[in-house]
Amino acid sequence: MEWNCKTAAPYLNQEESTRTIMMDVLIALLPATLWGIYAFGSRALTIVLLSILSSVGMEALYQKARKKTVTVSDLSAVLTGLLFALCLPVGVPLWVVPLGAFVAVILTKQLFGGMGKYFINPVLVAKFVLHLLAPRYVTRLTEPFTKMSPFALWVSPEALADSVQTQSAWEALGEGILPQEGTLSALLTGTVPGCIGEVSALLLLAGFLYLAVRNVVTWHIATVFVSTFSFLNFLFPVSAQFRLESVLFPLFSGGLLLGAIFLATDYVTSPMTVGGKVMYGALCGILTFVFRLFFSAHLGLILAVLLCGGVGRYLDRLFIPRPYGVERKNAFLHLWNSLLAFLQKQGSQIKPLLKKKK
Amino acid sequence: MGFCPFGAKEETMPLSFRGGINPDEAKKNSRSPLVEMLAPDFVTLPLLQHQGAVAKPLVRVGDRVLKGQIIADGEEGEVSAPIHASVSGVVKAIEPVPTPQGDSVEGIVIENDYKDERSPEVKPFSTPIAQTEPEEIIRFLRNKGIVGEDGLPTWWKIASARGKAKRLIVNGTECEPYLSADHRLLLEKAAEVVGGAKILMKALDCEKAVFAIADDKEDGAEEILKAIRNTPVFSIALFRAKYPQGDERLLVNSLMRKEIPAGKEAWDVGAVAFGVQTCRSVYQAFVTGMPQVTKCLTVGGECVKEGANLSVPLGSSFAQVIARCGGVLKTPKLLIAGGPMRGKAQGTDQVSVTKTVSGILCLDEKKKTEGPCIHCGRCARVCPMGLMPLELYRASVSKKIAPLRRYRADVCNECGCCAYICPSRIELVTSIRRGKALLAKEGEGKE
Repeated sequence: MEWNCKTAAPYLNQEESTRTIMMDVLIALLPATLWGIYAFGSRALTIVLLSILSSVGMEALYQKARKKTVTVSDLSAVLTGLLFALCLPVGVPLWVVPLGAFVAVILTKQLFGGMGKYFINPVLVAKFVLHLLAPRYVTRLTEPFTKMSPFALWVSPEALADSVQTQSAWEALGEGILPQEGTLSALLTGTVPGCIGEVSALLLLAGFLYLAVRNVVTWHIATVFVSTFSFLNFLFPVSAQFRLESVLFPLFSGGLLLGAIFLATDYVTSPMTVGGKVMYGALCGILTFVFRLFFSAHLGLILAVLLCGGVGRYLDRLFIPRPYGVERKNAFLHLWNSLLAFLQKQGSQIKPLLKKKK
Repeated sequence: MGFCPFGAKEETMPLSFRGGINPDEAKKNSRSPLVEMLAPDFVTLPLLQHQGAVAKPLVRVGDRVLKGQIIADGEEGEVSAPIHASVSGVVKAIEPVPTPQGDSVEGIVIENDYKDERSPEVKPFSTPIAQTEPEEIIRFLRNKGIVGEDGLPTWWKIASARGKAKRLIVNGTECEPYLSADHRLLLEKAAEVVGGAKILMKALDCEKAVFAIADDKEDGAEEILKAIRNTPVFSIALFRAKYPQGDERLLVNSLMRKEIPAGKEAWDVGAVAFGVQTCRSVYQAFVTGMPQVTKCLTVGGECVKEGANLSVPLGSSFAQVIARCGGVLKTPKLLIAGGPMRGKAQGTDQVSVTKTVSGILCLDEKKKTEGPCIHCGRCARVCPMGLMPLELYRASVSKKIAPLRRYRADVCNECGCCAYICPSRIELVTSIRRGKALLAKEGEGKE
């Protein structure tokens, strides 16, 4: 028998593929999505389906037009579509959805080379662009269980008048409005106004647990992001009287959990070394806190994670692991040791972090 | 665990290293006992079955040769190993033949006369080991043509390591998936393996010997334990079964907490490793006088009818070995010499079993499409050398030297863990190899 043996070792591959990873993220988002549809009605379902179909359709058309292989079966466009839909309030006009899908899938992702080659998070760019172009529509958060037409292209403000809120719970707190009974549990279960996918904190956390167990994301980014952010809220509470609420409300509203668990952890824009992830998570947390002081809750988060995503891959350079047989410290430890050496010259008695290898 | 009467501490076992993978799909065939395969009609012996210089034929077409007779040898002073006839018969041809490494070298084809007549050269070693000089052992081993699975002639390895290596490691980790021949040797021929280790220790002049065994072969470790009772210089070290624990660099790291710098060998840090089969071949050469004319290997893969662990006469073709195992259930997409992680896909099944073929795998390759790198970082998590394969891949594809140097492409040992774990099925080993070649050329250009 004869073969054409062009392939090289190794001849084994593990089961996981890009598709199964994307599928896992979709499954993790499922509880929050289903709740969003239940809470915000069939219009939410329309938006979700429209978003997914637009993203997948646009990617397929673009790739066909550019004579590339159509890669929609790797489910990344589906995920982009779903995440984008979950970041929208249910009262948006329907034309916003394909526009956002276009910005995310074509402008940010495909024009730069497709999967793996973009340099900022497509979903966040789409949301940001919409904030610039149509700020009123994307900040109209409605109460759950408001009746709304599922297929109306545009929902008038009058129809929603009673249920529109443009502030999240903690912004209200900051203005001195006392927290009501049950606000916290409402935030956790998801009966507060917000975007389709971001209201139920518990379901989002369940999704995070699923991802961690399936080893799709490591716990570092989301945990450090959330911890840094909460710590800053603890140090500088928006209301000195209600310290606990000042920490918990910003955490469970304004899309923070959705951003920390599903948007900041995008592989392409986040670091892969543990040190890099911790630094990235901390950076996200700090920037989100700072930006939310100047912008609205959503915009602050979006800008913060967008900027961090831009530098995410470069953070790895500070934490290059030590190769076998090579005596080298990574840049961070090198800086630390240099600092210590400088201080030692000034007379302090600090021990260096790395001992000389025997 | 109870396996360390002397040597390494119990609480630190099983020993391991950072990274590595555990392929579950490829179940090992450790239940099949080692069976001797009968010699086929023809054997084709390539004259290069090791790293080093090609051997020159010492016989001509038409000569009658006997089993164990030396039929080719390298020059004195060359790094080479002699080739011996694995059957008795008549030399039919001396012509270029394919090797499992993909080259074509001169080879000797012998027609088996089925008389199995032994050559008078096959004589056991006459003096007891304790009264022998190491140089004599080395010379004897050279004449018996023993080559390790890494392709290094055993005599050369001993000669290079003498004086530097204080510790002999018997490598019983057999970390590649599918392969189980070493496991069977540990179970069935533990005494011979230990005997070989004793001979090697004398030749190396070293103080200690450690049997490095992976924890999926604990029964093999028990057999070795029985064989080494009352020998204080021997000990057993148990390792977590993980690929690529058997790589010399990682073996030394896990066992001695030392790292072999790039460009250096294991004996530069005071250890030398020999495989289980090498130890047994050494023992057999001393006790029976028979040179290396067989190879223990595993036949496996989903396309083979009955996978088995066989002792195959050198020079048998892969086709003959597979036929011995009942043939194929369906035509395999890949015929691999060695293991699936580091082996080589063959272009023909007429290639011969040589001294470095540790397995014959008939695999049904699943269709895999290569996607773009999604920057998930799994490759960096499993790399046992602490590298970042995705950065090396990017540098290789864009042919940039600076990142290849920054991310130390030269340290890569091509184990394949990264390519195994990549969800986008990228051929990482191939690109990193290209990157290494680029880096090497750049280095040469500078000098």
